Amino acid sequence: MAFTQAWEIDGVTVGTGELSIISGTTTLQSNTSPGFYQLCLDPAGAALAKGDYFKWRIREKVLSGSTQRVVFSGILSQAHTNNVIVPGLILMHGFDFTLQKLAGTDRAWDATVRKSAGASISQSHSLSAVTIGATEWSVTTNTSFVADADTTAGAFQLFVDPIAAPMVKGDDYTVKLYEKVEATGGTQRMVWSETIRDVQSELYVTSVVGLMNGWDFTLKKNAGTDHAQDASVRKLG
Amino acid sequence: MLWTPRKGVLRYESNLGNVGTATPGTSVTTGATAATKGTAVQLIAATLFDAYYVRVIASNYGLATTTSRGCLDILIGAATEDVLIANLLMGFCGGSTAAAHGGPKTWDFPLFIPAGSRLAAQAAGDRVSTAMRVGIQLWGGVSEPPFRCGGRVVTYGIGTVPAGTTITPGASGAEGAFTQVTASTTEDHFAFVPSLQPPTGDTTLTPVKHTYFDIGTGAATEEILGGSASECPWIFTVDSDECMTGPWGGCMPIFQDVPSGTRMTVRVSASGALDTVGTQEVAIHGIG
Repeated sequence: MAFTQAWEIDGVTVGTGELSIISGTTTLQSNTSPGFYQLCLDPAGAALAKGDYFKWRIREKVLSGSTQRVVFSGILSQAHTNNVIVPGLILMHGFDFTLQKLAGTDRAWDATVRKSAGASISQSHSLSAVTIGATEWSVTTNTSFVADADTTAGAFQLFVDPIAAPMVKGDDYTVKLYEKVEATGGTQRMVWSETIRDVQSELYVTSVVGLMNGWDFTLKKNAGTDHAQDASVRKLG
Repeated sequence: MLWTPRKGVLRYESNLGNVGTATPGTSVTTGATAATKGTAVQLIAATLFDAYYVRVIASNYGLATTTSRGCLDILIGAATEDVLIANLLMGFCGGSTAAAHGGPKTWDFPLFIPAGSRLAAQAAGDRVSTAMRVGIQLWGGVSEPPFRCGGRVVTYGIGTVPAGTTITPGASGAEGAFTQVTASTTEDHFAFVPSLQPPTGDTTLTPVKHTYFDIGTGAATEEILGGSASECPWIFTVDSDECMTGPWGGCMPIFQDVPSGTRMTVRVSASGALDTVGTQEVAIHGIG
């Protein structure tokens, strides 16, 4: 797969208007070119100083018909001496990378977005407005989870939209990943379990993880209200 | 779990000194009036590495039979500094120089402080023009922070310095009622840290008393932050010298995404009878 620098801003002034690194303007984008993307920022080159607060955001749609939301964000403040790189995300349905000043002085920023692309990047599984309740639900089969064991090989990343049918106070959901260590004779076991609680303002996303021998992502409601969830499993390789 | 390969030393630095001392940290003096911050004092001239986790330690301000509320700021940059963490309720904190004191107050923040930063502190309190000790510990210098890491701290619940939000604890093991600290948070936050101190006029702190601290979110009936069956992990203690220490066992934040615009509340529960002045004062520090 080719690895390229997809977008760059070179000394572009960032103020209180959220600036798209894809367009280099405050017109936010909804790019759909599939890839594994990594955001690189140079707060030292931007001469951030005492009292400066800048927020970076990565925006994406979980499904092609979904609303674009923030996947992940962070605040860079004060004077810096080092660069910052954000771990990679598999993006494809309508994404952007942005910078915005929260406080302080407008600064001229350098930032790049690196891309690993190719035909092998795809959405392998999805849920569209599937109601998740107290029964653990397989994202790979879109049925109740009964040791479902997908053997598609690749590096995968799960996105879930807890805002489309908004989670509310008292809602408690778990997201689990299962996999077999070995294909022949291996037993599918849980790798991790994470909790999402109450009102959310960003998408849920996992790290990229290599899977192949009998895996599944699942969703389950532990408390609160059943909600229709959008989810997307992206595949690299 | 996804066990990520974190190599290299998790580096550490502080202003506590490297050899035994009865006065760890830096002396910081409160301002000339209760509501006025004193002169900012440098804690670290230039941090050695990108830090991802910060612990603030406040000690030696509480005094028996004396109202000792206080607010401590951690500052960053050259003078005039920027406020990095505002109004930690350091009031009544015990310390290192009196045997009866249970210990200091501490606050832990998953906060990104760039290498080379100058850190300082300033304080105000009921005991005006009074020296206290402030310590700061930093961890970092590895490729990835061990937790999600923030860039800004917002403090909710401060009234006129050095007052927090007044709350009535449940007495003798009863759970208290949730009291609103903010009707609407101003930013998205992903982690939270508590502040607690006895109120104004409280000159007879009843020892030994443990006060359990829970943060709630949303309209009544509130959800407890973190959702653990054990509720929130923070316990503050009043010692036999009428000083307050805590949280007991550490101040690990609770990590939970809470959107901007959320109502946040606190409830506290005391292990014994309430003091003559039966209230406490609280604040919440949100990291974003």
